[in-house]
Amino acid sequence: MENLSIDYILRELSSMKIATDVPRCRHCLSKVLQLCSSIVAQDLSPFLPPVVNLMAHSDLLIKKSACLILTKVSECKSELFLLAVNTLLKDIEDSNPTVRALSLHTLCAMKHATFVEHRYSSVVKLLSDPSAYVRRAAVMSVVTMYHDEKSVSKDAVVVNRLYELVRDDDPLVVVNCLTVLEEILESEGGVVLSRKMVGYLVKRLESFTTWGKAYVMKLLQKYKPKSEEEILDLMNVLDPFLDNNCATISLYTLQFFLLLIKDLPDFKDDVFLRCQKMFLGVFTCGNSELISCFLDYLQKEHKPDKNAIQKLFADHYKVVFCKQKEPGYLKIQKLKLLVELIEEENFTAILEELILYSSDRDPQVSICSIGCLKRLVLEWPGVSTQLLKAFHKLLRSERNHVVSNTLQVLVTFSPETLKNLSEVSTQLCLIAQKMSDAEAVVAVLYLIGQFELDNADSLDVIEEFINKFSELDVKVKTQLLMTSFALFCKQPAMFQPILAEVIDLCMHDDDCDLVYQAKCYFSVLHTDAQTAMKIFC
Amino acid sequence: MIGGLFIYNHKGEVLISRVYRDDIGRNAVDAFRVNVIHARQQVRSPVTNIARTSFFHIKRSNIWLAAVTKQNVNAAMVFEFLHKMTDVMAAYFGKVTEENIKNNFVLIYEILDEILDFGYPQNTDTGILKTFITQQGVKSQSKEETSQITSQVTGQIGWRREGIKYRRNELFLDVLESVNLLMSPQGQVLSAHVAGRIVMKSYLSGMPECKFGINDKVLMESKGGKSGQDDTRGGGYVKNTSGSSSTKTSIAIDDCQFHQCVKLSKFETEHSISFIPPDGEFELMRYRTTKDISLPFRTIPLVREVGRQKMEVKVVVKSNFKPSLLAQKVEVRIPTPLNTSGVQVICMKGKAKYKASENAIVWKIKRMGGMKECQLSAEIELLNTNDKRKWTRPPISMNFEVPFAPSGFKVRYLKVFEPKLNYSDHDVIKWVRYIGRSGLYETRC
Repeated sequence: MENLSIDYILRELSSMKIATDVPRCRHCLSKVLQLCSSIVAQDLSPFLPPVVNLMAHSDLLIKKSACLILTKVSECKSELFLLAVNTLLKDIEDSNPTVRALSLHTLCAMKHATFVEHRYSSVVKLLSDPSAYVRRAAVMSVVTMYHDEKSVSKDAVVVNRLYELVRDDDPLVVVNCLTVLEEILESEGGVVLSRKMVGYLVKRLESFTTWGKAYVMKLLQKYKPKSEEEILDLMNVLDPFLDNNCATISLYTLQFFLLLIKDLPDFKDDVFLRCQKMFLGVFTCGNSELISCFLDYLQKEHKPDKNAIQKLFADHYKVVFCKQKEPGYLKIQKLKLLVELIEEENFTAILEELILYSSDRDPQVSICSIGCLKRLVLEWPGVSTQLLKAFHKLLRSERNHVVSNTLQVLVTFSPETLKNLSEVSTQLCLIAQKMSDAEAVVAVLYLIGQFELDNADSLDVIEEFINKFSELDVKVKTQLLMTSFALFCKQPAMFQPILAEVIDLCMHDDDCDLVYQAKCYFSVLHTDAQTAMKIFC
Repeated sequence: MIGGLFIYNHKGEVLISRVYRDDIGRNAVDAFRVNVIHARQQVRSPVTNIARTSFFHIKRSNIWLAAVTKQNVNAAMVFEFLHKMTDVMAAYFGKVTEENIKNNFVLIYEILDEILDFGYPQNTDTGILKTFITQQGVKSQSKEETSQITSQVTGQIGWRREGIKYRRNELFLDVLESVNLLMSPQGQVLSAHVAGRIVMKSYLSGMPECKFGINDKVLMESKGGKSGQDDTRGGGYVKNTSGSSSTKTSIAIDDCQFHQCVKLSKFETEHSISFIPPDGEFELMRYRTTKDISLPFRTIPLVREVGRQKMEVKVVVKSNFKPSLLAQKVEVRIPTPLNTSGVQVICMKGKAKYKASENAIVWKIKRMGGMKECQLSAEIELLNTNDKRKWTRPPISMNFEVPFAPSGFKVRYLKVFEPKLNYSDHDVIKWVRYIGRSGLYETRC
């Protein structure tokens, strides 16, 4: 039954017997649905007549599929819509609540005029339906209507009924009403949150679904209590939600609490402590996108609260370590957090982790990790020996991108810091010959220029580069120039012929910037040797 | 909230597309594909912003699920929702793969209709969803058992929905037993066993945790209980206050089976039956005992053959339980030979009739008290037969219903704890009823 053509399906659906053969009918409708979702926009209007007929079928699944197809084909104009409207209006009186809700949904989803004129009365009628399932659907349909004609928000009957339904028994109806009211009354600032309403919602909070709780908690954030006593009361009642199974609810509750205690900073530490378990739980759940959201939240919202965050994770930093399979963006975020958590006790452990990530396959992660190492160098001058070893190891890595990243990061250090890392220099010459990508070579050359190397080695390196001059990248050439000048200023006797050669090559190069630079430097050197020394060293 | 939900395969082809709001157009589908799935560089972040529209996506094996919105939505909630959606789909048809999605097309649309109404997440509990969704997932067979097991392991409750409320919190316990007996002509018990079922009808609000206590021998011995007098209560439903006394007999349960909701771990460690009941009627446990059965009735048959044409039968039925209790619908079947021509029957109590079609005298006694004796005498006239074979007498069978548990099973207590709602154990009205029925209750003669 695969790969049915449109004609075949059409014939099947139009045949008289189809209504009695339920499985076949379902199958045909599912094929039509597949066609609806396909990339190429199909013209589905020939399906409309049989589909409208099938809407009146007694089998619930066929009804659902037919209504769905009808909404997808709603752009066409047809007299058949009148027949469809009649079927829907009849179904709204049906005894089965699922059918009632389904027909109301379909009625409100259609934009055609024939449907629009009936939907207001149907919605108002079903808002008072005895079945909770239907009431939920009716509440949601109000929003659909609102998006079509904004005047619904001014309609007193509907809005009053919605406010009444906030006191409904069924928790889903209540939450739906709140969401709908929020949307409709957006221009007036959403739902009015009186103290009574807040008290009522807080009492019923437990009975809502997860999403309901999350949404209501978000809504409550708008509320501003009047007295400190009220704040404390609210906090006491909502305390269990800080440590909820569902991380979103906890997050919202945390946000609410932080808003409440804006003027009471003493509580902040306690609040964070309560959330600790929840945060740790988030990190160990498998949902990497969620972890990424939470990390984002911690970074953005709590820049001034670094101490608080550090206290949260201090003993549990292992939780933040990255797993092999995690996506790149998540590892980068975690690294940024890890660096914040470093203290005396966990320094070695975190350092080892950072070194591990520096050799990660993903170049983005590796460069971020090495950047973190750099931060360590700057912030923890006392432990440079360990860091040195780290850099050594990285430079000897087999992976080119790791070495290249390390070099690039080393370049960003200031000259004083670099002096502390002078042992690195011994490897530089070897690396210079190994490297192929431009940034790495540039970095190497720069470093060679900075350090006081064994002269023979550096001489060799530069000579090699001179030999390959014409193949080199422009950036490399520029750096070569600078390095030659630097080396010359340090050791004039040795490097003078080299410098002459380099300048010569540069001046005859194609790239005019390079030519200009060479001329410029030469003239500086020529005119005032002393100043030149100061500039280039 | 969520404006649209799209599911793509690894090639970027749309498998499912559902748009909830008008502000999401068809080009959103393509935009995501071009910018994220087919992007050359690696994925930067699970949230992508293209032309004032935000795309949240998760990738599971090689399927991309994307939620699209133009409004200001909390990212954490959307991701949790997408995660939960994959859980729901997995519960219906196993792993979320392209093939499974294509096979369960309509089911996924039904699920999407139920869990996301106009872009707002509704109810995502699989147990409750099953009541609204008509289809079964294809490939759900093997997964049903694993989901049951996981729910037992993780403690998830799929058999009871939240938010149940009753004005009167009541529960009814039916202890239904079926006693089976085979007795020798001399009155010796050849085999006897009782098969019992506890059926509970609970009308309780919230998610109450119930603890069920019975006079199980293992439990009683561990608590140092003494075996003492039987103390049955009156017939019909009786209000059971949580009385406890160490002077009750205990029964040895040979084996028992519990309903899915009972926490087996607790049973194994402390031998206590702890559970959160489903709403309404359900079978809590089944058990079997073979020892110390108090047989409600004793039949004493006396058969005398007078010549070849007559048989005299005398049957005495003795009831062996408390005098205050009444057995109902007592019926005794006395089989007659095949060559019976006529029967004369005398009985003081009840009505006895000879049913030729069934070859038996059926003696019905509507009500019979305990510690009573009833007698029936019958004269059976036989036809002349050349048949030399002796008639092997089939046993006399009985049917009855007694208002106590023949095994001696007693409900010691049933405590209800609902910490979140404001009703306590004392507010719950509890009713216990013992119904002992006959299974195969035979006395050879």
